[in-house]
Amino acid sequence: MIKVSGLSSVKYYEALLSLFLGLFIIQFAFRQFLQPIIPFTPAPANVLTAMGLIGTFSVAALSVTIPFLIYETKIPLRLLYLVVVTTALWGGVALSYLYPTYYITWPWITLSLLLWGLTILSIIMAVLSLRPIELILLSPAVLLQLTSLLGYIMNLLTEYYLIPAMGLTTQLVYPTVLLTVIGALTLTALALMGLRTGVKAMAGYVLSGLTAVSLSLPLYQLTVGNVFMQHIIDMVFAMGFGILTPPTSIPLMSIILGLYVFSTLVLIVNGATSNRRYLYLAALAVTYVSTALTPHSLSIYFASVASSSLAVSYLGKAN
Amino acid sequence: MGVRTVLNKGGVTMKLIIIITVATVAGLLYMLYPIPLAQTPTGIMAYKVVGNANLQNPGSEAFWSRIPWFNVSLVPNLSTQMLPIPANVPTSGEVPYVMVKAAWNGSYIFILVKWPDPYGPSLVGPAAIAGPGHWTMVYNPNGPLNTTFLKIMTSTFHKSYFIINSSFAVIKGSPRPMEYILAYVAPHYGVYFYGYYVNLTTGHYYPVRVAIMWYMGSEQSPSDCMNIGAGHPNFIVKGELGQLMTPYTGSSTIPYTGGSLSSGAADIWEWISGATYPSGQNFNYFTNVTWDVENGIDEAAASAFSQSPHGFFINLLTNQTGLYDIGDGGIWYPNATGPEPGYFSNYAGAKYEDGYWIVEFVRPLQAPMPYTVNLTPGQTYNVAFGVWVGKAGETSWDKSISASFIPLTIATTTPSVTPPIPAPVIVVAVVGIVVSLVAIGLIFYSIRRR
Repeated sequence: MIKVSGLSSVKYYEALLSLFLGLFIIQFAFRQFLQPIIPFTPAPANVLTAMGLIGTFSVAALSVTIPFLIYETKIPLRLLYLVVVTTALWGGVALSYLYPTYYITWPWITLSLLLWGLTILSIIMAVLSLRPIELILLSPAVLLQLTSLLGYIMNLLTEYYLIPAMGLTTQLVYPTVLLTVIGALTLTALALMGLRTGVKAMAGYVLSGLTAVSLSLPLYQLTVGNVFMQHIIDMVFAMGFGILTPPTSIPLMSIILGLYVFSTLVLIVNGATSNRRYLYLAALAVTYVSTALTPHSLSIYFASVASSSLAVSYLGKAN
Repeated sequence: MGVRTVLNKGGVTMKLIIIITVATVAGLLYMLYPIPLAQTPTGIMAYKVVGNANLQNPGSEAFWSRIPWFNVSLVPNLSTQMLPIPANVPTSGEVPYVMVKAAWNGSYIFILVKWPDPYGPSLVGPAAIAGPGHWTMVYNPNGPLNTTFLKIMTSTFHKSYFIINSSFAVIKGSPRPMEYILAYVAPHYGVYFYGYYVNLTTGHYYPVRVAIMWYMGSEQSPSDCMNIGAGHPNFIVKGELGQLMTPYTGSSTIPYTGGSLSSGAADIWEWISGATYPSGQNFNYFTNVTWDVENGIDEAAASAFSQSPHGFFINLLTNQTGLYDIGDGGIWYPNATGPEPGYFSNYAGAKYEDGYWIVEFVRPLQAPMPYTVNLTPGQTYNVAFGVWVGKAGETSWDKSISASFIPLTIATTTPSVTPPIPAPVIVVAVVGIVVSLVAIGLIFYSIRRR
């Protein structure tokens, strides 16, 4: 649990965590979510470039923030995490100039395996630090992330260690979708558990609701009675998120998307206005769910999952 | 807790301000300069090897035994998963997967592909070059065929048709001009695209094809699914058919050219068993210099090829305006270039064995013609795959494709760097790592509880 050596150090840590969470949400929104969708909207082409730049900005800023966050997370193996994550983030950038194919050499593959293992370890540490009800409600997100990490290691073993492991990723498609749906419901339940009264909190909840509705309602209205648009958005979901669902389920998926946005924002509001614990849980949920549906082709995905997990572990059960 | 600042009444530490400043500077640098992001290993590897291709027996070369297969799952492109069409097409997606290996020897790149085909070898086919052409089979899975709409559609595009039974009919002639109507509109009026007309008894079927698409655009997440459209963009469907399509597509205009790409451009390598394979029935067209020259192929290249014919693949260019032939006068699609000396400078070997097709693509790393991809060791490219089983009714726009692009890296390492490890060893190692991690986590947890 967090050793309270001073109120200011706790505030400093939570400010770092908030910075991490904010940057991660921006990179997810602009780089992972909106970029695949924008080409199918009437938005002008230059918007796409601007969004790409904002997403890239966030990834670079995250690469700076994460090592500092890990440095301040006083947990065992902190130094190992700091060295491996920093090497994976900035060593890769440096090597791309010195030796552009560094990422297919055995030292880098070994480092990636180590990063993969440390990410799993951080998830285990986070799980052990969750309260029972939190664990139950966050278990779909945890399983989603572990499924994704399993898929990553199977691909790595097939391609670099010549072990054929075919078909696993295709078999995981529908369980992944099911976990995504269940995860939206349980995360909403977790967010609603922490509801507080008060002007600031109420204003935050209203804003959270409005944001979620403004994102998911147009998508729902666009697709609920329009088979053509259901297929368009279904293709976008398949391309952008790797989610393969029947087109008729797209109105439902837009509600699921809205629930994720709503519950994440409510968790952040709860964290900001009453109990900071919800801020940590929001970081955990956002990093787990959003990176679970995309190939872990960048070091930043592993580093983000490990950072949010270590933060929850640092928080412990008591706080 | 460090130096305090005037910000937030001294509540913001200097450390935090420095971190935010450094993060902002790093972010701005990334926005201004194309600095690479740190990567983890993913995708298909083309390993550096010593040796040459054996086109008589593709896949038999010694270096292939040291390179693993990369499994690419395929999906039907004419499906509601991939395109906003109202119904799946029964003949689309006959090939569930294609396995891929890649290598290069300093001058040439070799791509080996293998996929299951229960229909056996198909080396003939009217659609290879000439013959009766692509005939389209339509049907209604929900009852009798709407012949009124069928008449309106076929007459608009100057086609004829014949009825097979109350639910099935065959449209004589290529569906290319009316693909958009067949996909997006006709099902609403009780006329569904079933696939291409096949009659195995009379030999009326299409040749097996396989294609690799090399993306040459700059989009981060491009789609490899080509647009369904007309002969040119913004084609206006006139008359009654135009009125009938408006409720379902919003207008009587077809926005895309068929085969165009939604963003960027791509070089397509397409091997056609009937036409570009020495055992194919229509291969002799290309060995005839006169026919080659009449069809816009470089005369010197055609002469050399006629003296020493070999399996090869054609190059196509797809971009946002359409789909084009490269290096010929437009044998399959409109031509993007004039005659090019490099038309036959690529090679292909193929065999059908134990229910699988094995095809090997061989091409110089350096681009042999305009609009073809230039390959540089150390670089990563986005590739996609498409396979057609002609005997099952697939050809042209009806095929099995990879759901998205896959990174292919031309590695400067040899495959022996990571020798094969027995599967049980790896499984035990992975299980061991996971168990160890759980144990470490539990120990950590128990220490913290004290």
